[in-house]
Amino acid sequence: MDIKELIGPIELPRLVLFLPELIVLITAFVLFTLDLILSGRSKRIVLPSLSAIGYVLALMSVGVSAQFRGDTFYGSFTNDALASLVKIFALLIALTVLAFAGRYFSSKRSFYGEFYYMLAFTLLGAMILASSYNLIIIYVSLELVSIGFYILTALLRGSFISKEGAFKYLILGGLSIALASYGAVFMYIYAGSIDLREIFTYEGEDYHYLVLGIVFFLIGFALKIGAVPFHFWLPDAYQGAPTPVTAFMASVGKLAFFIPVVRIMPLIQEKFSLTWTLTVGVIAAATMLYGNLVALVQKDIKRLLAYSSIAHSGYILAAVAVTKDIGMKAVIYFLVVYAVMAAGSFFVVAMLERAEGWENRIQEFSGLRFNLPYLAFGFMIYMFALLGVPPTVGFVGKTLVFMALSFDQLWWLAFVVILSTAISTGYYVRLVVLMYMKDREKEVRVPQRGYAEALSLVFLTILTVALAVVPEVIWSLVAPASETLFAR
Amino acid sequence: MEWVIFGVLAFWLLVSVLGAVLVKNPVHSILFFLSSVLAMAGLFLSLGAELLAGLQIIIYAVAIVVFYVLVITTIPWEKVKRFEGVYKKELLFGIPVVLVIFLLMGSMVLRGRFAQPVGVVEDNVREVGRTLFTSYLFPFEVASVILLVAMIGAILLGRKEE
Repeated sequence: MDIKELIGPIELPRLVLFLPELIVLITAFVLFTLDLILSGRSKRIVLPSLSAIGYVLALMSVGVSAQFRGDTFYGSFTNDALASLVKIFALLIALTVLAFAGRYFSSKRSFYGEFYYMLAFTLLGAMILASSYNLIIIYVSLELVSIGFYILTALLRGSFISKEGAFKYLILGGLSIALASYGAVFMYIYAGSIDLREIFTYEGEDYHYLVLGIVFFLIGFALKIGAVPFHFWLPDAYQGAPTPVTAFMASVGKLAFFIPVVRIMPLIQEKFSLTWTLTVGVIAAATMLYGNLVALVQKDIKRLLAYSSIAHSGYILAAVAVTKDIGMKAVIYFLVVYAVMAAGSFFVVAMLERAEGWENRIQEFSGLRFNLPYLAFGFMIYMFALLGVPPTVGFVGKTLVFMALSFDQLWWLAFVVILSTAISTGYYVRLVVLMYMKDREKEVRVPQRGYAEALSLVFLTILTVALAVVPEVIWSLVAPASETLFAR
Repeated sequence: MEWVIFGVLAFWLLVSVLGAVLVKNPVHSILFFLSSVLAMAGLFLSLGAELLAGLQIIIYAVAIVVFYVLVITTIPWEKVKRFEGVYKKELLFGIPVVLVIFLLMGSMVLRGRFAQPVGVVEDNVREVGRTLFTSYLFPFEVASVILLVAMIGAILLGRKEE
């Protein structure tokens, strides 16, 4: 056999597009090796600082790779404006997770060196998931993110609900991936291609297989993002997971799982705009109402924030239903800022959990401002942001969703958005009232507060306000991202 | 003739899959699984994919079945939950839903027309090798990371705490 014939079709990958992922991958392997070599004591310093260095390098390299656009690895990896935006925020939030993880795990007596490279591998999966149109890549990176999350969820030593949450997540996550890949098979049968762009531009005479494929594919993703009626795993997994991991799942996880939906949104709308609007709209309405109503009666703060996360999936889905450019912009903006808000609010809980005798009950928040004034202030900002009070990002996000819905004249859905926001006032404001207007129930003291944690919380809090007051910063990234997607 | 071979293999496959699900003894279940793998390999052969048939036998019938047997022999069976009978209420709700979905899917599949395969593949091994190292190189590499992560996770969660 001629050697030239064999290596002929091989082309060199444009690694510059893949640079951030490559750096995260190398970081993960370095951490993996060091975890085997180092002793227990030095691990606690070396592993987080090395991960931080790796993520900062990757963050800088996003700046490099963002200069170049296009596909590589035979069209299976796409680097565009949306991918760069997601990578920037995923890396930033992963950096802040590092600040909280070490002390949290130590206080729960479950420090695992493995946590750091599991985090890196999961981040890698999320970054790849955010930058591909290829069905197989979507499948494998979805699998990578999910397996990372199952393991990270179960990392609390001797905790039953942690294992239970991980197990529920494993079963339903496996189901969702099975459904998504089943859908991918039907899409392939329809068009004979595994590239989503080619599938949706393929001019087949009848759409039976395509419809079947899209339905299964989207049900798979609905399970992942926790849309009603596929949300059952989410509160248990979020409650059971170690809180820094919950923050990571609610922010980077949600961001990454939404991106394939965002990518196929303009492509589907060309063919089935009416059906799409109706189906997604109904699911969005159910998700918003259910999430907010059930959150009202929660007694555990992590479960409350988990149901609030379901409700936010609903707000984002409401904008996904819109068939215009503005809908896409609202989706991307809301996704990114929700990642910031969710990460911040879960980090506050992660810090509080280190206090002696803290049980995550909502009543324990009463009078928190006397004990921990700065933390209470930060938490208040996040609550107002999640509720959507100006001048926070939540307000701008909900305004954008409302605007997008009004462009498409989806008044009933806009009404549901307003209604469920009104319902959500009940629990967000109650927390603020408890913290600021009630007497303290007990002394809460967080031991060994570090600079990294304080810095991360200050950073996220500033981001929560700044991205709303000066939206040009993020808008200059969101606008090109949605315009390139809509141009196709 | 083609249809006769296909029919025999398909019937064999269905019977062994049903057997794997329905028998109670785990070792018998593994044997049925082995039989279903062989039937699947036969199906691949009858479709002209001899490489896939070979891989099916090497990977599934040899490696994975042996692995399953290893796992089954290490499980302490006296601690395992026994069969509790059919869940009647779930069955009552489940069967109509499954039937409706199955009917819908069936009608969609029967009415749909799919894209025709392009060209005839002559050399299976060469073709698989070429696609694996060109257009499927990246998924292949990511899959290797998945296996690593899953393995580490299994060890991490399964090991005894000191």
